[in-house]
Amino acid sequence: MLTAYKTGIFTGFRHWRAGLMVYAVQLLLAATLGVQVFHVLEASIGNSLELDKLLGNYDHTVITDLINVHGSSISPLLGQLRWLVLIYIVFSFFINAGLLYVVIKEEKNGLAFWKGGALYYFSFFKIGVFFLLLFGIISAVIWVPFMGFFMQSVEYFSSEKISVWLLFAVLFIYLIIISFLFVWSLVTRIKVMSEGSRIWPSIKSSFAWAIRRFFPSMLLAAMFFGLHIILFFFYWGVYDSSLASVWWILFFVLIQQVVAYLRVLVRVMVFAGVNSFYKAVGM
Amino acid sequence: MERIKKLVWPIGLFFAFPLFLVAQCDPHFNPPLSSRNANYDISLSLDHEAKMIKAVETLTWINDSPDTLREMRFYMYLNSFKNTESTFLKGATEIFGQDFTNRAANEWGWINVDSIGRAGGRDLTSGIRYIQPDDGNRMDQSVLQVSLDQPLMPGDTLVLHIKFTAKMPKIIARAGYSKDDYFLFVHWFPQAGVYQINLDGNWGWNCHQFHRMTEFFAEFGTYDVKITASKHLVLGASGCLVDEKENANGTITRHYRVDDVIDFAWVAYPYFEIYEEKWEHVNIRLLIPPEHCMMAERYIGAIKHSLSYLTAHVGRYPYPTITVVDPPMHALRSGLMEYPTLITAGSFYHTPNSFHNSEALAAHEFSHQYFMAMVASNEKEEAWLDEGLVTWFEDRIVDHAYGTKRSLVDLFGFRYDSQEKTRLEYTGMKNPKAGTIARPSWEFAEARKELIYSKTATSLETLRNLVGDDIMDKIIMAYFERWKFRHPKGTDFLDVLEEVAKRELGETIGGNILSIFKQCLYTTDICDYLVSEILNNKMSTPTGLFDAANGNHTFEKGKITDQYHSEVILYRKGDMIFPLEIEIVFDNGDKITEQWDGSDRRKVFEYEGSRRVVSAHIDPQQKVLLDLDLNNNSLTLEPKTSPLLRYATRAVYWIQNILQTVSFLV
Repeated sequence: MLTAYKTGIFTGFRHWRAGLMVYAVQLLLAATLGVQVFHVLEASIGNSLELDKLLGNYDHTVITDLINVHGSSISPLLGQLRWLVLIYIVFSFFINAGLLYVVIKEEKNGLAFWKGGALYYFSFFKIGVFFLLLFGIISAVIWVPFMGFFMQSVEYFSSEKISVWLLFAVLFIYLIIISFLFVWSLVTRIKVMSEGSRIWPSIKSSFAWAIRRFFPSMLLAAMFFGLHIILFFFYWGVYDSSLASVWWILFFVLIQQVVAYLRVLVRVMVFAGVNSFYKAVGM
Repeated sequence: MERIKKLVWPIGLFFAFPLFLVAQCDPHFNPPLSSRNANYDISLSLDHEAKMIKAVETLTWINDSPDTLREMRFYMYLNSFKNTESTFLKGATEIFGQDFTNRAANEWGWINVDSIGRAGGRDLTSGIRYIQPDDGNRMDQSVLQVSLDQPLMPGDTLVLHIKFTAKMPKIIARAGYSKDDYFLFVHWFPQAGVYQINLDGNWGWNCHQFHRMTEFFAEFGTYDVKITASKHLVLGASGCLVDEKENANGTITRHYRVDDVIDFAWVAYPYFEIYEEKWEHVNIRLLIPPEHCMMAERYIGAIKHSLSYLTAHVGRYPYPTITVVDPPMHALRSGLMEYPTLITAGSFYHTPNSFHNSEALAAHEFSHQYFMAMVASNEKEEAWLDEGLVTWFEDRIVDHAYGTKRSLVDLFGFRYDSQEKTRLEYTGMKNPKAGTIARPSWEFAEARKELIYSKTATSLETLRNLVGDDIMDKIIMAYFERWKFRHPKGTDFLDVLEEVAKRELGETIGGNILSIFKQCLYTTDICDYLVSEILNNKMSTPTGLFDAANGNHTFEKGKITDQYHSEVILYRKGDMIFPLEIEIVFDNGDKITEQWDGSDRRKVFEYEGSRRVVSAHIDPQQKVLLDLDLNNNSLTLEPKTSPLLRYATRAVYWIQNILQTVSFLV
């Protein structure tokens, strides 16, 4: 498993080109909204001296006055974000197919990414919709009743401590289930792509595989998730909102984008790691 | 004889020793701090299983009015929780987010006078009846009228012996019981109303029914209360524990006393842990459930800070004790409230250090010891007078203790302080013109907190910014000194404000300050000033036809010079009027400050010369916090794009993260 982890990391870096393309797509989509954020801010408080207060730290008064007065200009952006997310999910079937393709076929050129995406788009679309549905059902089954119970349990138990720990326990179980879903979904796609299997048989056999390899595959997923945690804390550790000059802002933008790119590479690493583990242990 | 004298002290000390062991503090004030019109001597026993108390109360009440009284009036607050037809519950299905309509029989509460008699006179029980002076709701039993057998003459003292039974409700709002034998006893006994000069200028009873939106109002006096309860209960109460004795039946009788207060509250719970610390003469006693113990130091720190801040800016806290009760989560609806020398707060298991809401609550409720408990204004009729002042002090204390711009929340760069939160509660209202502040609480169908608490506090902070800290301190200190242990009205506060402001700032400015505060209180007007435009036009030399000496016209072709005619155009969009400073900055770096009385709807400042105006800022020090939009108070022709860039790029980054996250499963 450690070998799979190391292989995943090295393979991730090897496929930096494919990662860069995904990153560029993400950046492009995010920038369409970012530019609008810029213009809304500029139109609403762009000529106010209060803007200076945002150069340093976050200023609650400036932001809340902005939202109170110009809320109607900001809310359409949130509407757009919802659509953007939906579009990106649809596009993600393509992206993930492309990324997995370059990993499995060990192709380093950018063309392979597009080829893989195009070849497996519809297969991955079906698999993705299945797992999204499963994810939605599981989330609803766990959280809808639990949240109703949680609000009451805070008053039901002698101490809310019990409710809080119960919440953590349910959250932990939920994360395990979601990680399992992730591994199951990924192995299904690996099987479809590398073995040319049909979708439903792949889903069934991958489920059996994920059950059999439950603990090592969970650990592997957790170790890759740890990379995201490291990146998150790296960002908060480096980010200093008090450094307000233009050069510092550019520096932090660079840091932000490096983190965003590395998060894409971590996805490639996970694909490569699980693929390597699957290949090593077999069915 | 000499030997006997020598023995007196040791023997006295020997017998007094057990008293020192239990006595927390000395509750007596001699001479009295208040008029002590209503003095209570109550002995009660709690049946914690039946959630009931049986009590004997002796009320010694002094008629300090010029009227001859033929009746007494009592608050019977617990009857508000008897059924859904009380004035408190009628028309509501939930209180504090809790549905109370499906309660079992034993979850409702009530209080009943079993007998009442006048010392040395007749039994008066047959002459008692519930009255509804406010709304005529015959089902409401929150005010009891007792007809006297003989008139009570001005200056006379009335002694009444009352036997009563009270059944505590499962907590709906504050008073009541919860799981595991938790009890909060507040407004739990027949309490005399106040006979005073009312807002109409006439003497009369001020004993309102219990409305959902109102709090409390009572007369000053001493409370001597003996509570007999099961040994397993940990108790906390107003005032000092002066004595306790164990009974043969497994109960303990604890004797509490407190002088010169308007109410008495107590709490019982088997699992309370007790933390005690001293601040100068004040014994701080914290009762907290084990799961909240990590908050103990934070609570005590907040109380110490409040004591020190309020002593410096208002006056001395005279009582020897303050008890802070942090209820368990299942009894949170009993929290967040103020009673004389006892306050209830609220916290959650492992409240992070980045949030100071519990400390803010403690500071708020403690500030009520000054404005409610000592300066005992009518919380029912003029709630702004205590809640507004207290919210203002809460903001000041919390921001002083934990730092401006971060005192309340400071997490991952997201931060704000207490004063910002209070201002936002008002400025963020959907309709800031929803009503005036200065009206009885029961008239507030909505926006009670935003107007009574937040608008008043923001108005007071604006006033403080306008007159300066020293003068504001003088106003508040004068108000406190004049009205402590009395019942001021809103006009009394305004009188002190006018008097001190005129003395310190002169007749005209002092008068202006008063009228500014009055517009905050008595009108629904809003405040919004705006820098609309900055114009810089190049000037030219005269051009056109000019009369010549010979009667003809001469034509002059003007030349554009390097001189500018600049205009700064300001608007008053709201109706409130404040005197303002305007800071004008020119392109050569010059800064000038203009004065504007703020009254015109449109105001133009004009300049001519070689320098251009680059920015204008109304009220640059942001003294007028009531302004609904502080962002439009300034305008610059040389805007910085870096803050916009910073937020836009951050938005891009977080959108990237969202996109990356949502696609993980597909």
